[in-house]
Amino acid sequence: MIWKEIRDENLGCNSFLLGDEVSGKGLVVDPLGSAGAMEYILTAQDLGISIEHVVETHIHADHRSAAKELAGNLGIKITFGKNAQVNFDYVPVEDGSLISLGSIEVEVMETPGHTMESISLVVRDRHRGDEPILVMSGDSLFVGDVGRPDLNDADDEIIRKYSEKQFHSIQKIMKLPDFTELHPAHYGASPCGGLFMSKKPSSTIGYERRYNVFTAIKDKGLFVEKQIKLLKPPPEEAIAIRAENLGPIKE
Amino acid sequence: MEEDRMVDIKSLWEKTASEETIVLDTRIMTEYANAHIPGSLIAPYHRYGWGKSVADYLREEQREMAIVASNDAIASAAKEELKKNGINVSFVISDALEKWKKENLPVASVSNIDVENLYEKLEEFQVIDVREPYEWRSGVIPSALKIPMGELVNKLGELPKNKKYAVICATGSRSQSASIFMADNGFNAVNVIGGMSRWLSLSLPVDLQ
Repeated sequence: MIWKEIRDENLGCNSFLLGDEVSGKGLVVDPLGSAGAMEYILTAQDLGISIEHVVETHIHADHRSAAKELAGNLGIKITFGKNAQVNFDYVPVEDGSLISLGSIEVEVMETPGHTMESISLVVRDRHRGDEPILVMSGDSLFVGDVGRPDLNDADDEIIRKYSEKQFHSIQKIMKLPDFTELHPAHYGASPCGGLFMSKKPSSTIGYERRYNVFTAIKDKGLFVEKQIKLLKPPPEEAIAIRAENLGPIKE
Repeated sequence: MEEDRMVDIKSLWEKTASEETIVLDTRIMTEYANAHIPGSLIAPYHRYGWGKSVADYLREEQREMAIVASNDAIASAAKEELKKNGINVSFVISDALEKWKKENLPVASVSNIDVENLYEKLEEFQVIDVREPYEWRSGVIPSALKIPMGELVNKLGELPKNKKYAVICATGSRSQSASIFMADNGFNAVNVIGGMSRWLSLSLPVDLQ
């Protein structure tokens, strides 16, 4: 199994290259505009995999994405959760969709809450075992925290609805085995997280089960109250960045 | 890349067949195995000293050089690296194989077999284990011929061409280039994906040394 993280330390963003060295098949998750499409193409080549899918866990509002440029370069469409409202063609995936990369299998889990189209990606290395080895949780479950529900719409009622969805999504992710590695899209100072977000880029489901204040809350109402109480102002330029990321592909 | 001479794929085929042009294939190994121009050299591009090692290998080469790449980005990077190391590339072809196939030109390819399938069909194949001798200690498929990668070129003449060969290493990576090498030399060879690490993790039978 091939696994490589490409980060933006400044913004606390994580992106991933995943692949199977035997079949040479690979995918990129949440490519970063600051790294640039070329970096992913050259890294995949260094690793001996070809990028067959470019997956966005959600429409980003805090940083520019390289997904359009990368997918355009490779002549493929971006993969999004089926509810993505973007102004270009994409490959829609939903709960249970499987992306097969030789012996590496990626299962889609819909985890709305940060945004409506948010997905998490559960990875299995079938060469080694049938249980998940890791989950890329996008902006759903973070290390120490969960993704904020207010970047789609500033309306209080809508924020509350998104927070309720986030509660169910977190419960869903927490059904994974304790040893599953957790790789969110953000860490550290990212504006997409809250007060409790750790500077550490990855964790395990088991650790978050014990020490994440949000996974401990079993009541939806309490979860929503806590999220709303801790909200901080949206990132600067959020509206413009989001618009660019969901805008049409420029020729 | 406006300085590149545009090459039509058919004339490149002719130049390659007559050995007027040397074709360097920069794509990753699995893409090369899947389909490549017969006689082209495998040289998967990477950012860690690729240009120097290729240039060292081709230092005495007088022929025109063509690069095959899976996309423009890799093609430019590879070309640039070679230039830095004193090698000029005359032709660059991205999306090479699509163009090549459109013209119905011949491609060479090596197919894969997975370990489970090989075990079921073991009597159909002569297995060649191309790992190093120290690696054989982990166990060797009972019917396998043991030929380390580096000795394959010398042993090739001793192998009958009427057999089907399954080439295996630890993971399926070295065996890929070994099986390509055999196929390009007229053998019916397949690459075993997953390799001995997969064979051993399934607890399939082995001879222990």
